[in-house]
Amino acid sequence: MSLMLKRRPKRRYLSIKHVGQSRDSVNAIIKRCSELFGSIAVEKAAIRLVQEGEKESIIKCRLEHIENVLVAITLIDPPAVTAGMSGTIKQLRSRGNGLVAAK
Amino acid sequence: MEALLFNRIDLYISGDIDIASKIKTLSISRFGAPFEGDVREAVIYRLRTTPSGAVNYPYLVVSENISQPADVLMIRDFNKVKEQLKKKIKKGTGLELTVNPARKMDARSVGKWFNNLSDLYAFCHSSSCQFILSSGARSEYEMISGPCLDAILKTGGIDPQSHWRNMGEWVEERLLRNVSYA
Repeated sequence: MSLMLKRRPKRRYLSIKHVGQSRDSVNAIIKRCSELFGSIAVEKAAIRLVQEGEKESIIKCRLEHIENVLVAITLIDPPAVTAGMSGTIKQLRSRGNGLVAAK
Repeated sequence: MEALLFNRIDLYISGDIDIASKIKTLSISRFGAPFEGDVREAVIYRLRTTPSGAVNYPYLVVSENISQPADVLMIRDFNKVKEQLKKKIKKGTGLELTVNPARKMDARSVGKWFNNLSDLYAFCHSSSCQFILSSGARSEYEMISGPCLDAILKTGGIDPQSHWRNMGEWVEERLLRNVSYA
């Protein structure tokens, strides 16, 4: 009998510092990622807003597509900075970087 | 600490930025900035001309003019200056491309920008020059973290680890040449 393992795809949590609304920044990242790498890649990357903040937010994406997401974050206008990256949201918050505090 | 295994250098930031706090947050070891009178730690100063007297800070001479002797030559559009560079460039010069203008570009232009980046890297490799990728940030929001710079290099077909190693060696060698004690 063969055993099928259901593996949840690995993800990365990114804390980003941004100008303006967090929702606008995430939409800009998704749009840029789609323009540069295609709509299939952006769907596979599964970019989601996890925690909203006034100037700092946390997003998550699939680990396999992290490079595309980082490039997209770097090339959006208005700009945003990747201030931290971790495999778990807990660790990202504990590292702090003086940025997003746990809610 | 994984991100700090190699020393990344962002040679071009400007504006009112608290550099000391950004070193750990962004995983960048050193920054380059225009000299504005005060000397800060982990900063390499970008000067337009070689200082006439001795100075007590590390500096690199930066120019946009191919004919002017400089440590770093800023390149806006590599394809436009390629032929001139072939004739006039001195071995060991750093050729710098900044990321900041690409933010305002449409997708097609960003594609061309990446092509430029790869071409410039190949040119630097063949002409014994140093390829430099800088943020060109004018505010803290425009700064680029180490992993993001790595992602841009990888997308341009450049191995980040060897790039940062070469870059570190090049910067040290250039700073030793420019050393002077006030």
